[in-house]
Amino acid sequence: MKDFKSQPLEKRKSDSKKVLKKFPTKVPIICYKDHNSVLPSLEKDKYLIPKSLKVLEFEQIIRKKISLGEKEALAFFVNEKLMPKKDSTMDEVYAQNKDEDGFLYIVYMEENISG
Amino acid sequence: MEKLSYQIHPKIHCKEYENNFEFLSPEKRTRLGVIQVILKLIGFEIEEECYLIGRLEIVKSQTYLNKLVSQIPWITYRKGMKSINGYKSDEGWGCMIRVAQMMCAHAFVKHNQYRFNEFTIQQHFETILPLFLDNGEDFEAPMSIRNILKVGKEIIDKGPGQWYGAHSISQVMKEVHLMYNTHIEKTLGFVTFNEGVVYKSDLINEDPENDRSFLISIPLRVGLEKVDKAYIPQLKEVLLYPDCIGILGGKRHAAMYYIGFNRSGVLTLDPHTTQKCVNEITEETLKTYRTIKHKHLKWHQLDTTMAFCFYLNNEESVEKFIQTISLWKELFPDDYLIGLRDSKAPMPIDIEGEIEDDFEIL
Repeated sequence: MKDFKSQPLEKRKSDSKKVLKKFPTKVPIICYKDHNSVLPSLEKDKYLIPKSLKVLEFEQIIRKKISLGEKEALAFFVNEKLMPKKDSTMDEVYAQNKDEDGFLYIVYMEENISG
Repeated sequence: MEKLSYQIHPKIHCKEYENNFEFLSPEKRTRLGVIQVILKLIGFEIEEECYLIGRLEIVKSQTYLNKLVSQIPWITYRKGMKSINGYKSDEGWGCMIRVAQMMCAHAFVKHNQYRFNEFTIQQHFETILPLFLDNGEDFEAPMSIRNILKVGKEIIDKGPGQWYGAHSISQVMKEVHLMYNTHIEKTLGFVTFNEGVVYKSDLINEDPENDRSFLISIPLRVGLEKVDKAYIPQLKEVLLYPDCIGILGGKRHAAMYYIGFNRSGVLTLDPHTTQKCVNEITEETLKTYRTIKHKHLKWHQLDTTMAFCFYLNNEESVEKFIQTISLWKELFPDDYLIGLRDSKAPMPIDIEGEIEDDFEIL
């Protein structure tokens, strides 16, 4: 993700504009694991997601992509806040939380543990 | 002052209070909002030090609080146990396991009270606590730390010495209950809703001839570094819900069992005391499973990983629970924590997409 943000803002802006125009039913997102997380990384971090997809479904897709079993905890954050409620559509999440560059940044991580 | 506590009508369930409190603005129609209105009407103010505990008890006096706390099983680190992979004590690593044991023991005591209400709390403790004895194996002590560690190793590869979180321990307790606690499992199912979504289909009793009760754990993360303030009103509603049996939580790296709250934070039972392991429950050893000691954690100290736990004794309470989840969705429309669905739906799209312009298109 650092690599991605190191590109100039103008470049990122034009990238997002381009895909939004080309794929009017999708939203562009960047999804990656938190730097402290021990969970597996995603193969890719740039996605175009159907606007109508629900948050819960998006979360389930990422879980599958990193081959994480249902017994493992997985939490998602946008802008350092918990991912909005599970019934929201990705379009709503995008509209409310997108970066100035036109991408939505989503971070995932595991649970905290105690002894 | 000998007036020990105010006990408000314990059966203010969502439908009733929705109907009766329409004059309240929607955000005040929370259980806490209604309580505050009732209290104002009867001229009582919730003071800083008052704790609110499920079943709507507002506890002002220390003596009464002690009594309530002592009615919840207290399970701590133990030493002098039969060796588990070389460990004779769980000090320093077993706190989340102990917190989960407290929650389960609390649920089983409630389950016993529901089914056999003629007994005293002491008698319920005598029946339930042997299930948790540390040295018991397999069916001798179904919910023992030995069984928990064995199942933990099997299903999520966590053995003795390793730390748990609210999510992982819920998975393990559910499995231990199913595998070893067969006697109680006949009438009490353990369900975890891992994605923060309650699936109604998981709470159906398939045998209408007999009541089936449910122990529910909903593990969630409610913030990145700190609990997001926006969620605190919801945590309060959860803790005030009559069928809530507490929250598995803690502060960073130290698990605790939340059983109530006041303005500044939560009331907790703390497992971080190391007691000698016991091999049977007698009048004497039972004392090591009861305490009046409780700790206070401030809202900002809470760990962000937690699990909301509920005990629902019959169909009617399942129905009310489902109504309440949808009520919470209405009361907290922008940020409700617990979702509600009829059942698990198949994935609407392929999880692998074409790559174009360096994007994966789903």
